[in-house]
Amino acid sequence: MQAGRDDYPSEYHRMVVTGLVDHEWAARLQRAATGQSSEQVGDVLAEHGFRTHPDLEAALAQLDWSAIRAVAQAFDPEYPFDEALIC
Amino acid sequence: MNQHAFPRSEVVAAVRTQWRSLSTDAHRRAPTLARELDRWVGKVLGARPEAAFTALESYPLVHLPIWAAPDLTPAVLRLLVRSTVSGYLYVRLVDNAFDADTDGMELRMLPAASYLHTEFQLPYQQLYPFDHPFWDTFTSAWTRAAEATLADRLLGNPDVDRFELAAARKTTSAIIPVAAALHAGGEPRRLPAWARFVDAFGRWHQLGNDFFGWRKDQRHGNPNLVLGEALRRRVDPDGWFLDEGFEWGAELLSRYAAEAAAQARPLDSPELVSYLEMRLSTHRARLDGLRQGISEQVQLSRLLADTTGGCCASRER
Repeated sequence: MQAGRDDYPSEYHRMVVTGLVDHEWAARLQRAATGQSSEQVGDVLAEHGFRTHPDLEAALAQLDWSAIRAVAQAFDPEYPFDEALIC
Repeated sequence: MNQHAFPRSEVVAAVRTQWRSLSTDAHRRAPTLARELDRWVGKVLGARPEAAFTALESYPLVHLPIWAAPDLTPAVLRLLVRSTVSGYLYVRLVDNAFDADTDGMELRMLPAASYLHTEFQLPYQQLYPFDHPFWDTFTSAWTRAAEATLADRLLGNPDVDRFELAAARKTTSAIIPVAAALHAGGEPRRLPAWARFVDAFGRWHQLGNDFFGWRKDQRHGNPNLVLGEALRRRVDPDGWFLDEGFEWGAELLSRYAAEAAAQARPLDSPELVSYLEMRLSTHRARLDGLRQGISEQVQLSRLLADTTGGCCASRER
């Protein structure tokens, strides 16, 4: 799934509630933002048309990603979550 | 301090032995059916069905009779548990096939429903002759639940009023084993109060299913109250749920929970009250945790909106 400004509002909006929709991408963003992978936050964001800025990486790293993924799991119990990705 | 154990060990043991007995009897009478049934039960309930029936978050079908009639004899308890396990599996089999929550397994093994329905009804026939008042409750509750299930399906995504009239009544047949227990204990006069509780608790329980299962229902095209509410407001359910829908659903759940607790109080069943306290407190804690996650998701959406020049998500709210 690709989403960005041009796809607004539907695909874009789905993307910004990302933990509920593109789980794999959210997990990669989570790992990049929290330093658990070698990927750069900017690269992961760019795949979906988002641009990074100086404060964004720090702000993403401070999010409670386990709470975000708990919401994704609670409301999408059929999604085949990779346990290793859940903080 | 909770002084009543849940689940009760004799109920867990009864579910375990009665499921084994149901399976063994099926293997003796209908080996093909039995093999399919075992496989399907393993898939939907796991390797230990007794755990699924007696988990805190499950509908307490197998506990209701002994809470309503604490002096129930072990023999009657076994009969009621056998019936309830069979009845639950019957409803689950038909519902899964009906709701498209299936990869085809339920459709392929639909004939097994005959066996399950027979085993649901037989224990009551052992307890009550055909002209006993128990059968009035049996017939009306069973028919009412079937009517609710069909109406829920055919009417599509409901609003709150229609949800209360249809979907919320799908579990009203849970009164059947309670009625059997009350008749066995010589206290059928308590039936109307228990029926009010079963209706109120079923409303809360079904809303929980709709609230936590709306994405699955959306994927499978099943009717769902959360989707119905988003439709009524003419909004995209994904965005609305994050912005308002979660709190809208949490508030409705809280109202239904209060109604169920109010209907439980006059029943003079300390075990039921204790169970409800435990169940509702766990439920509230879960909602609080998810509320935190929702708030983080809103924050994430704002951060991402900023990366596109602040154009989108927050403006749409």
